Amino acid sequence: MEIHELQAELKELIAGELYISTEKIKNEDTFHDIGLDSITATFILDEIENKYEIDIKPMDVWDHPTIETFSELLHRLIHERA
Amino acid sequence: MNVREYWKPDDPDFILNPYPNYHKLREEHPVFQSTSGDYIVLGYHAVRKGLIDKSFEAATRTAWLKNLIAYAKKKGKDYTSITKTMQSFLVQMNPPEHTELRRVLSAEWPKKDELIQMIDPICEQTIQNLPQEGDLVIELSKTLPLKVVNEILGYHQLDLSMVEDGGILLSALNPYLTVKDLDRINAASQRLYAHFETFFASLSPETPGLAGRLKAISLKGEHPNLDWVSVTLSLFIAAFETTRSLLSSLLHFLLTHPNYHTQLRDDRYIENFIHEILRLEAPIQMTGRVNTSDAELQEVKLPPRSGITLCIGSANRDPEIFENPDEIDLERDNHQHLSFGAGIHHCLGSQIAMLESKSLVKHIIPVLSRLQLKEDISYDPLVTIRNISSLKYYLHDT
Repeated sequence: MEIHELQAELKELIAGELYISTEKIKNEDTFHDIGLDSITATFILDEIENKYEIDIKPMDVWDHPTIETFSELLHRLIHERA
Repeated sequence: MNVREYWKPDDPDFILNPYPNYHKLREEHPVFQSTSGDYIVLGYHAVRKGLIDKSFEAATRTAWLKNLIAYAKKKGKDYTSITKTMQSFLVQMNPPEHTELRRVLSAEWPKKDELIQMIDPICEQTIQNLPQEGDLVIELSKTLPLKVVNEILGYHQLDLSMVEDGGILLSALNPYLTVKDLDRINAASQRLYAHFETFFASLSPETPGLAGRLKAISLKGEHPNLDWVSVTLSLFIAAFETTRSLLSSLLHFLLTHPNYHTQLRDDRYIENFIHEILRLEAPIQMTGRVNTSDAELQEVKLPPRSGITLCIGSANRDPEIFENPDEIDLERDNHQHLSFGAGIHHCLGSQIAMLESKSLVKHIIPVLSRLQLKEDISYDPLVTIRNISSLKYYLHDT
């Protein structure tokens, strides 16, 4: 899967969770700015883990706090799993 | 300095030995904001202020869990059992409810002489009957507090499976949780609550022990806001989880430092030794608070309602307060460590923990020359509670 596809899927997931439009989410915005908090992040991480069959540590989302950086991490984890 | 290079609460190496990182962070940033937004507090003065200042509220975790439960409901997940189970846990309460429960418990608490008579024979017999081979975490660190709490509550059906569930429930206090963690915590809380509900229903006001006395109070109906099943359950959990941590750290030190055994045969040093292990290996490594108004900790300004993590394990090794902070010193008479907390939440069971520890050290010292550790230790993967996972041993005949 290409990074840009992953980014689009991530945006959809977050937009669905926060009831906002995907267009409002920019690759370089921090999750904090988008409106993600420790509770919404918990459930989004679970969906991502199930969807891509990977394990992510709860801190990862705050260490890679934008769509851009987080999708790079996901891309790597998915690649490692494969 | 990039604080994240040193602040690694989800890293097994950090959990195994967080102290060098605490030192690095404390030197440059005794208070800093983590990437997830909460404030991490490492310096002794700031941690102590967070514990005693009444504008810093406890119960941050249950408040967070309540929000989480409301949110989870929309996802078809029901986690209500977690907060139901924890609703009357002293550590997760604020005044005036906290004051009300603390007063009730203090009035009913067993007296020191009674505790000594209860605890010492339990430790002596358990050590005498130690199997030739096994795990000291199970045989002593878990079993002793379990036997003691059974005796104090007047309930003799608590077993190690409940200890496991209690440990799982306490992991709800971990600052970083996943949905899988929450599923496990919820299931453990359901089992525990159901068990204690049946137990509390079976009690009469005449039942000997603390639980019977609490039943008598509950029947008067004077405290409608307290959930007595949760209160009783909290005493059980508070009694073993942190004591287990302390007893394991004491045993591990003794087994790996034979050069201290002679000195510890002298009773004068036992209490200092226990305080030093409490200071160096704080069972509760960190605890949460929320500031109700604008606050300042070591020159860092905190906006109201900030999430604050007070790192007790770091404060206890602050060189400003403790000279040679990483070294055990049996002559040290500064016992101002924060392992029992401070202020209104100062550990209600501290006396019990000290008595159990003293009795353990006294009775294990003569056996130590025959006890041999079989392998290196590891720690449970929890950053909040410092628990050695196992201490496999062999007991020689002579």
